[in-house]
Amino acid sequence: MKRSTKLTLALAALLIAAALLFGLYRVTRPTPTQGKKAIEVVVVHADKSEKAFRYETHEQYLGPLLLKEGLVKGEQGAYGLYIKEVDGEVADYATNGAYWALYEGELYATQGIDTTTLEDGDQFSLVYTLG
Amino acid sequence: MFGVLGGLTFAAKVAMMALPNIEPVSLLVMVYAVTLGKKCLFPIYIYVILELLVYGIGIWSVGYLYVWLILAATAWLLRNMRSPLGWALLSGGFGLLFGGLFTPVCLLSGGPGFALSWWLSGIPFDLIHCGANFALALALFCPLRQLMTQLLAERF
Repeated sequence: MKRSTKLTLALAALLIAAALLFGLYRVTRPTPTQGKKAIEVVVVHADKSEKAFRYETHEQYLGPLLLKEGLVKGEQGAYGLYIKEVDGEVADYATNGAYWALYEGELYATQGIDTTTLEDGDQFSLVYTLG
Repeated sequence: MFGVLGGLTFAAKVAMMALPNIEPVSLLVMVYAVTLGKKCLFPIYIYVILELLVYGIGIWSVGYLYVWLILAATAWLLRNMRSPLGWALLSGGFGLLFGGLFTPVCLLSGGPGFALSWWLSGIPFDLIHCGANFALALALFCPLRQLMTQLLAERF
């Protein structure tokens, strides 16, 4: 088989693989739900103290909810909202490698806060973490 | 020389940090692999150490210990390839698989559900990575390879 044919087939394979992955993402991504939801967010501060916040909301994503409620402050970055302050406590990565880790239930979140969808009864944690 | 190359790789990545998943590291790893052979491990792991020193240690750190090695080994095996499109396809394919290459680490740290969820949610970034890697390699791999080969011949 000529080299140019092999490369053409490889290019086609890459494009097909990319298209399939995109399709898989579209099919499997969580879709936001409508209606009112009861949400709980537990904040674990640097001193390990915990505070729970409960919300009743129509918001579809966690980030906008917590920004609106004033629980978090952050900056929009290349990967979405980067949380710098939660419940008045700042995690400064540049100073001591600290950041706010997001958990969904017991599991470390696999999405950013502004793409995490909300469902009734969801529980989240924002944990002050040293990197 | 290896320290300079490793530092250059880190600096180039930092310079492009504002662009998500658009990085010159894949390109440079391939260039080092085909021009330095097994000695490419020195600049590659100097780069990895700089990443760990600056950004700390996390789940991603374990993946960084082997992902670049996979790309370097593949590039070295294909070192006789001269087509810019061929190198672009290798780099693009690596970018597309980048998230998937980290799933063994996620599997060990969080179980199958976490690993699958982590990989699926990162697909958009893998797609960007694929496109960016493809474009950078298509434009720059052959010129950089030629430059590196010339410099090595003149200096060493």
